[in-house]
Formats: sequence, C-alpha cells, structure tokens
Amino acid sequence: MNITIKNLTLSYGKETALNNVSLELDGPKIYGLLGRNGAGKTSLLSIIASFREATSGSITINGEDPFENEHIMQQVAFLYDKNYQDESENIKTILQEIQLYRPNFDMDYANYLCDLFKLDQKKPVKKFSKGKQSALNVTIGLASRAPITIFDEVYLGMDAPSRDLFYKELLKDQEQHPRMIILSTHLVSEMDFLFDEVVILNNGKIFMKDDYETFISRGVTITGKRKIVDKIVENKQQIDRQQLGDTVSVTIYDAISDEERALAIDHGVEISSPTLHQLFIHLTKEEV
Amino acid sequence: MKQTPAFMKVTKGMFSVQFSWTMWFLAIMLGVNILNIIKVIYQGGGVDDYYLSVYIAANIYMFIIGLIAVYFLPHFVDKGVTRKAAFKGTILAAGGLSVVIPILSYVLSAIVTFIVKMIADVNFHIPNLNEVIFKAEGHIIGDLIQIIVLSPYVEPQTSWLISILLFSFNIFIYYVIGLFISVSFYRFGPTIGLGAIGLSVIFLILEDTLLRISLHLPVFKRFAMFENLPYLIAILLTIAVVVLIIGLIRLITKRAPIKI
Repeated sequence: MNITIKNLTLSYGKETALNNVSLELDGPKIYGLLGRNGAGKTSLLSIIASFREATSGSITINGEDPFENEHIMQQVAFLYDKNYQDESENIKTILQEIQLYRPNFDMDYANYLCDLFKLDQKKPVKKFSKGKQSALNVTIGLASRAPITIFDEVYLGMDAPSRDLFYKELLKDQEQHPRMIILSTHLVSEMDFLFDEVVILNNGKIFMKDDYETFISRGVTITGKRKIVDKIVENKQQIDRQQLGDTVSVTIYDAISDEERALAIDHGVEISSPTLHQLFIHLTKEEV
Repeated sequence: MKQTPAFMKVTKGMFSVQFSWTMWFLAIMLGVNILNIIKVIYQGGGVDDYYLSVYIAANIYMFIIGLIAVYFLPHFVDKGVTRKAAFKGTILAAGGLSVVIPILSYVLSAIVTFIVKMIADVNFHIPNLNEVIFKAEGHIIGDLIQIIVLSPYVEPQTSWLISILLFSFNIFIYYVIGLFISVSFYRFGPTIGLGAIGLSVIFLILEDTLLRISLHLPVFKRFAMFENLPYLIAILLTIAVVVLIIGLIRLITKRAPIKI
C-alpha cells in the first residue's frame, strides 16, 4: 500500500489543523506518528481514513482518491478512542458485524485476542472499564487485518501489562501478516522499539519523517566540560542544554565529525545517543 | 466469489436492527389495545381497532427512529463503508420497514378482531379521521398537530390496498423527515438544524395537503385554495417532495465529516 499526501491543508473555520502537509508512506511498515496534543495527528489520520476531506491539497492511496472510494475505504481501518458509553451490544455481536464489512477479518484471531485481553464477549460493551474498551479497539484493529491499519492512541486507556501484550501481539502478527500500521502516540518511550519509520507532526506541519535508525543516529548528546562541549557544538543545531556548574550536557540534532569525536575523547567528554523520547521532546519543545 | 454490495449489507443490518425495535413498538401497541379491549368488555363503549391505533402512533415512532438513524452514519463509515452505501442502505431499510409495519399491523388487527369478536361483543370504532379535519377551525399550530396525529386515512374496509399503501407512504415520510432533521444537526449544528425543523414543518404540511388532494380527502381550510389541483399533479408533487427530502439528505451526508 502507498499513501501519498501533497500540500494538504485542513482548517476548522479560522483554525488551521494541518498546514501544507506533504508525506509519503509506503509498504508494510510500522509507522510511528508522533506529535504533541493538538499537533494535528488525529486530523491527518481522519483524512487518511476518509472520515473527512481536506480543505485543500490531495491524498491518494495506491494512486486513488480514498474519499468515498469503496474499494479503498474497506482496506483502511481507523481505530480511535471511541466512546462506548451507549454501546449496549456485546463484543460477539460487534465482531460479527465487523466481519461482514472487513474482507480480511479473522474471527479466530479476534477470539484469541479476546481471551488474551480477558474480554467477556457476552457482556455489553458499555459495562466494560475504559481499559477493556481500549483492548476491544486493539482487538478489532488487529483482527481486521486491514492493509492500512491506524491506531490513534487507542492504547492509552490500557494498563501497562495489557499494552505490553498488545505490542508483542502487534509485532507477531505484523510478521505473519505484513501490512501498513500507523501508530499515533505521544507516549514515545515505551513504543519506540515498534517503529520502522517515524513521522513527527508539530503545529500542523510535518516536522520530520525518517526511518527510526537514521532519525535516532542524528541525535547526539555531548556531556562534559563546558569549554570543550561548546567548542564541539558550536554552529550545530542544539535542541537541549543542561548545565550543572562547569559541566554541560548538550543534545544536538546534527552530525559530529571524526575530529570532533577525537577531541571529545581526548578531553574525557562523553558522547551518547538520546532516546527517541528525548529527541521528540526536545525537537517539539523548541517549536513552542 | 462475488461480494455482496456494501449497501445491501447496510440495508440488511439497518432493517434488522430497526425491525427488532419495531417488534417492541408493535407489541406495546398490542398490549395497550388488548387492555383497552378488556376495559370495553367490562365497562362497555367502543375501542379503536389495532390497525388504527398503529396508524396513528407509527408516524411518531418512525419520526423518532429516523432521528436516531443518523448515528448509524459514523457506525458504518467506521467499518469502511462509504457514505453513499450507508445512505442507500438506510433509505432502503426505511422503505422495507414502511411496508412491513402496515402489513403486520393489518394482519395482527384482523387476528385480534377475529378473536375478540368470538369471545365478546366489542364495538370497534371505524372513525372517519378525515371528518375531524373537516371540522377543524385552524390555528396553524393546531393544524400542524392534527396533521401529525391524523394523517390522511383510508379505512382498510374501503380498500385495504390503498389503505396499506397510504400507511406505508405516511410513515416513510415521517422517517425521512426525522432523518433530514438529524443529518442537518449532525452536519451543520443547531442553527441550520433548527432551520431544517422549520423546513420539515413546511414539507409535512405540503405532503399532507397533496396527499389529501390525491385521495379526494377533505383538505384543511387553510389550504382550501389548492383543492382544485388535478389529482394526478398532486400525486406527482407528493412523490416529488419525498424525492426532494431524500435528495437533501444525500446532499447533506455526501461529504459529511465523521465526528470522533
């Protein structure tokens, strides 16, 4: 599957949620869509899922406009933090209905996931806790096996052990049934190992898109004597700076040369890689 | 293997959900009717037959389920169904329901009347709803309430086919009016939603008057000037108004954003 977005803008009245976004997602990979609250993640995903149209710009999925396109829409599953407080149906009925509309839906797998997350299939969904309702969303998303599966922070209601189960199950099923999975989150630290590629959205714009390893390798944290560190980071894009006495720790989003690396080693300056979580925080903080 | 078109699945789904609600509605109406019959057996007097009771109540019932039907739009889009398929399925299911309700109430009414007449001497009203209209001296609000409560009526004894067709048509109009109002609120919010209610009142008055002219039934005095409209034109206009409302629903939902 291929999603190509060109110059996409979405406005709600005077408010611009997405501003001239261009992006290409391609192939059966797990994409991490990162962004702070209000960055435009859900707006972008809503357009991919044909929940709404953009104000301007274009989006194609496998070369076709997805909006009101029956063939494309049934291949895109969009799971979000749905309000189930009025849902009196039980899980069994809900899953049976989804099976009617999702061509790749696997009921056996859905049953397995219900057991895994301890979901009582005969109980009305509105009686479930928030965490169990989130687990239901995750179950629907995985078992639908849609070629494009979008999870928009559905896992936030789940407790840590359930989230861990989900991550493992996601990787396992992705290996057996590769598809494009988009995981939107602002909880980066515990999910970074899932991502093949990372897209950061900030203030309605694509801040960066890269594969995980390349992105991570662009961040460098240099810690040591202020004088040496400042010499190394001079003229580089500094995204964070901490200081304690004469010791500073500077994170740059830039490359350092071999000479600079040698200089650091000679003076006992430590060079390390920041985590995706740290990079995300520093990069998006700068924009505010 | 050829896949069933999505709109057919929606039709089936919408019909079965709404039919299950309808069974409750018909059962409650039957319960009320039986209680009234028992009361009449002991206290004397007359009682409306089941068909007439449902005829009067079904308008409001269909209006309400039409209002609720908008919540199925996000439900289907959520499953990868297009708005077009959801729209088609919803309208077809409403059509199916509008045919089934009159037939079921006609059959149930015949059974109830048959059983009751075997065990007791009960006088079933055959009221002429149209005469009530005839007598009415209209205030517009009063007229409107009467339009809703007392739809154009042809007794099944006169012609069961016309009666059932008219019943179907009436309740279908109320469903689409309910849906029209709710999709207007859903898409545009309260201001235009309220405007849609106003427009719906006009549609209802128009439909009621045109139907009465088509069936040579008495027309509200307020609209007496239209009485000379040829009935064939009235029939065509009646259908045109329904098509217009359905067209507006499609126009409103065609590109409607799904709220999450």
